[in-house]
Amino acid sequence: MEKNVTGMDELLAGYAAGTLSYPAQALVGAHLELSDLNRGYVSSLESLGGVSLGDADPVALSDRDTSLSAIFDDETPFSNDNEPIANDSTGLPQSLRSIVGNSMEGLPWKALLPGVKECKFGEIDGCATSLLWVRAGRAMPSHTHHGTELTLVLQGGFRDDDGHYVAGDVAFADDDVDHKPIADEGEDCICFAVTAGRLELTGPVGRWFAPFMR
Amino acid sequence: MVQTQYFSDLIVKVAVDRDKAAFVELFDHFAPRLKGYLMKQGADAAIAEEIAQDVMVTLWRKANLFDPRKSSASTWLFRVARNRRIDRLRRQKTSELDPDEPLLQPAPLPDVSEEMDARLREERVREALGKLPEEQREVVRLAFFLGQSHSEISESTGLPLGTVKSRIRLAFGRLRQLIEADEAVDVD
Ligand SMILES: [Zn+2]
Ligand SMILES: [Zn+2]
Repeated sequence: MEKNVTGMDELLAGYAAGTLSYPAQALVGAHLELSDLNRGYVSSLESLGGVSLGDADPVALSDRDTSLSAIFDDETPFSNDNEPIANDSTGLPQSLRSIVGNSMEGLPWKALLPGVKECKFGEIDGCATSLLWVRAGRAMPSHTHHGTELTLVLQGGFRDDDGHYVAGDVAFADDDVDHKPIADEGEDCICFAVTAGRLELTGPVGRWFAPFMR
Repeated sequence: MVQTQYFSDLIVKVAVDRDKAAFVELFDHFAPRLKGYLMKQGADAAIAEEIAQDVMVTLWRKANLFDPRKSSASTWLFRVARNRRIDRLRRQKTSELDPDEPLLQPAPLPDVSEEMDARLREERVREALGKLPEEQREVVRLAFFLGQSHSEISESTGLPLGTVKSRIRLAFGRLRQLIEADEAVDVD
């Protein structure tokens, strides 16, 4: 399904390094929750990150003693949270919740075409971010891309010229591909889509933030 | 390798006994490395230090979430640092964000492969990286370890942007093949 002709391996590396735009980071996180296909590779890359952290040249803290006592003085009770939040009935992956909310129920869907609804979350880190809902058997609007589009299937499945995608799969459409995905029969298809826009973002922690593959 | 076990044991002591001496040792080893690592990636010293401190706070408060079978101390801290950095950037950019909302904290994943322990995984991936052709290893270093963008890599290497893009794509695909070929051999 996703051989590296698509750049998927680079995307996963960006996730492991934490250099993707926020919505792309969330999309890949959700993909890893839903599918075991790429977990081993991502774990290996994270190990590589760990190795390089272990090998990093230390830089002395400005005030080591104060930093340490700030940690020990903190009276907040020790935390046992971080247990995974129970899956909601709509099966929304945890990684998407900071963008979508806690559930897909009650979202402000807008009809795009007969059988196609969209819920936009605006442009985040220069990436248009939305959910798409396509009725079983319907086609999504034909479109070309200016930039790269990532689509994570949350429910159902769809087919395009490049392949067939089911829940947990990521479809990767590059610049200037003419794209006309068609939802599978039998079940409505819901996808989380991230499209890289034009914004270049910089700041004090700067260069990490840019559209997802820069 | 002995060191990996040593740091894992220290974190377990922090988790089980709230052992301050163990924590101080971890702090003195990892906090300056985190700071150095983040600065290499382009963060200024003050921010690198704040994130390093965030990570150490997380270690003190959530050491119980560390599982020495699944990752080494440095891989665990690498992941925490990555997530803290993303949180900070996110808060900085979205003023309307509720500070209590669940941050981008990927759900703990079901076990990748229980038979592959943390140390073995690190050895594997180090070896795989070593087998990459030099020019591919270099773009992995710039893109993955230093977090440089395609255009920054193009500037620093003098290579055309298109070459940078295709080389990075090839490099990460090749790295994966090497890692997975290694796994396949061991499964037999
Ligand atoms: Zn275009
Ligand atoms: Zn498309």
